[in-house]
Amino acid sequence: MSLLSEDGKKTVLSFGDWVNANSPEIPPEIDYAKGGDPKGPGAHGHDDHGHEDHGHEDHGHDDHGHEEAHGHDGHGHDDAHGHDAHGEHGHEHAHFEPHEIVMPKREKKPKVKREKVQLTGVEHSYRVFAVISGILLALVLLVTVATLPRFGSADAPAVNEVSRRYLEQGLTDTGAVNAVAGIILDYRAFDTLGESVVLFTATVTVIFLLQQSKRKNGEEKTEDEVDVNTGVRSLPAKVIIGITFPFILLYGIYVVLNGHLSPGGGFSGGTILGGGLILCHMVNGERFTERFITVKRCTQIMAAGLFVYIGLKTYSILTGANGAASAIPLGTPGSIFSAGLILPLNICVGLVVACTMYALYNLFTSWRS
Amino acid sequence: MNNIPFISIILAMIGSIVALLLGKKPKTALAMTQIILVAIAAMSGMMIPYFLQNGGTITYTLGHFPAPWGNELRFGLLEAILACVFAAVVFLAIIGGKNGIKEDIQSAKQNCYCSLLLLLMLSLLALIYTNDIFTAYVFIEINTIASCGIVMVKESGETLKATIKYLFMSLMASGLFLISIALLYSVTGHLLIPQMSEAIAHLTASGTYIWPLMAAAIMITVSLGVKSAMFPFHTWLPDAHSTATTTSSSILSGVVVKGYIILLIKIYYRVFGIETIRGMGLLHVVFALGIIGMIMGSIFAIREKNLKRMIAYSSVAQIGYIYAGIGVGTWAGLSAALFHMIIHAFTKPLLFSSAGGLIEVSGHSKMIEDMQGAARRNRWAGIGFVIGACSMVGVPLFGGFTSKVYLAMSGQDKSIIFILALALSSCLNAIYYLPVALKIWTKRTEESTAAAEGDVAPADYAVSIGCFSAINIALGVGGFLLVYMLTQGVQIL
Repeated sequence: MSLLSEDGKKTVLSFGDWVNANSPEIPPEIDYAKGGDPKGPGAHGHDDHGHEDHGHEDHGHDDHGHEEAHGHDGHGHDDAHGHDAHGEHGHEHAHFEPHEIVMPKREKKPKVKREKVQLTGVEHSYRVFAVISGILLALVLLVTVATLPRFGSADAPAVNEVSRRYLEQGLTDTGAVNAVAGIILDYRAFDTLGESVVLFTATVTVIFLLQQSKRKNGEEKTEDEVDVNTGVRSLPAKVIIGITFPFILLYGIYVVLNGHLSPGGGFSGGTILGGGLILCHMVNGERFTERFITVKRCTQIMAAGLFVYIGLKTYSILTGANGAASAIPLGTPGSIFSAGLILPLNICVGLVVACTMYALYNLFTSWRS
Repeated sequence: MNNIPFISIILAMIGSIVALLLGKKPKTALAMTQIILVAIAAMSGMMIPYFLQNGGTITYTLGHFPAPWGNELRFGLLEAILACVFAAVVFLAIIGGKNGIKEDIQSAKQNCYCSLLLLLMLSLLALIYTNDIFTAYVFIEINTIASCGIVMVKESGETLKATIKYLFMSLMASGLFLISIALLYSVTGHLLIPQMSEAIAHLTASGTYIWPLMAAAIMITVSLGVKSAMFPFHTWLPDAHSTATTTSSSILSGVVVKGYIILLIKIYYRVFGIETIRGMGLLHVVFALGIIGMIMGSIFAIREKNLKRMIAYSSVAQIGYIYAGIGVGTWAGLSAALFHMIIHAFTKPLLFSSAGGLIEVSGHSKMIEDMQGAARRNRWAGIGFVIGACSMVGVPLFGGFTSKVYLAMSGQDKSIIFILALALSSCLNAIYYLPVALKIWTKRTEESTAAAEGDVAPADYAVSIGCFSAINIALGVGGFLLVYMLTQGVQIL
């Protein structure tokens, strides 16, 4: 990651190094990355190429789960940092391989003795205060939960005219056999519109953060870039995903389309679709998936889905609020074309969810400094 | 008239999607954003005379299902004023920080920025209008993500660090809010505010489930306190507001934190009922935190050598004024707090826009010591800064003075401490604002005046500074009209 330092000079730092250097809680002279036992390669069974620095970097991140500066490091990022800080060597590790998320090498992780980190008094008191307030909050919440009405009891306040109507008249009101679909996409559809916009917002933010304006297509690919573009080298994985991928998509589409009839709907079906695409991207690489879906396509599909959602819901809300009847028939409950707007809304939500998942995954894995 | 709030939310939503698709045409996206904001401000403004004449509120069913089952919006005079103010501030902040947007954001990403601004606007509108506490949570999520997004747009190390800090604190607060909603739902069985409020009134009368109610009230106060930078939870604010680009700083300090304060007021007055909150002793806590924030925010600001951080710490103090006003717990206190909120919404963006202009002509240094004579190189920024500073200090004829007078008058009933703290905080404000205002107008000794008058500010910038300044002085002189409207507005809250 290249960052502009305060005096405008361009400096290249790894994110982890940078957080270490800037975090006020950590004295700058302590280098977490090098904080491990300096015994070298022997201590790192898996690191047979003898890149001490690299190994230490990884361990620094792993062993310091408690250190707040590293708390946000997901696995995928972790590797990116390792690569970043030591860009000259260590390509043989193929650290960008998506299957790294499984972290098979981590089993051999040796116990590394750590130096005690010196903390000043203020930092100590912050930590003590954080622990105490965390425990207090947990206790207060536990006590509060204990005083709540028992879950599922018939005389709880939540068993009232609201839930009764949802369950008893839901079918005639919304035409949806699945009461949940009726609630989220008809009774309280505005909230669900908001939720879809939350996903949209998240995607916009991540695109903003991670999208590179120009992919360096003309430039020579480095080794791990080739890796990420062609996926894993394991044949069984490719065969298995080749067989299951169509079925995953089909199942996702089924869950989306059947949302008003059976448990499921846009959110769960969209997650299945998105998960299938992510699996395909993991195994076959971006070279393969970019033939049918790219981040740009994702944003276009999302935009289309949201437009349709907004259009349909605006119609239904404007008619409802101004006392006009909706012209959309509810159909026969139980048949696939029933429940009014719920089916198209489910499709829109499914598209938005699937595209959000895939776009986020793609942006995070294909990010280069 | 009925449909205006819903249409403005949907308009911003459509705009944000279209802006994302306009990747190749950042200028079109920016222009569209401005048009939409003006349209929202104008539509909301149209509602003000309507409500002044007819009074009352309108409840708007979102869909075919009425209150306890479907979602609702509810709006009256207060909501109309706030929506109009917020949209206007966002619009003026954009044109006041256009240079910053062009410099700080890659042109390929400017459309994303427009998209985020509109998402922020729609979430604020929904927070103002909603009559359903879960809808509030959904739009808090949008607001949180979008505001973190507009902090990090500058893509430098310090903004990313500030964003992470902001994101963590903000997400913790969102979590607390969601837990509180779950608690409230399980003891009341409702999510819509009027029904929930009725159920809470029954519960407090019969004395059942007091503990969950109290836990929920405390957690909501803490969570919205974190998000609106109430004093002990303000630590994210100076970083986030000072490192972001000018427009983002203006919008974050001008409107985003205010959206949460309004939600808190709504929850206090409409969900729990102010007497219940008073009975729990929360008003005293809010009042005390407000007073401490007023003093401490100013003290932190005095220590700052970085202009934008100084202005950001000043926000902590100003938010303290607002909370102290809410903590008074009377209609007068509430309307004074809302009036101060509106004054601050117009003043802080003015200060940030001016600071942005001053920083541009001082070799992009944010340090106060490098700013000598900066106002002579960018006169609009200099004038804007002086007006903003006078308003924040509380010089008569400027907005800040009027709002402080109303706050002091409302505080008479509460305690003499409020008035003393107001006086002390105003003095502290003067200690840090006036030296800067003098410094930027002082000639550089080593430089001739002719060489210094180089940069000409763009017309947009002048319009933004001019509008902010004019509104500030207008509110300072004719503030009683707005206070009259706000007093009417809060009584039907």
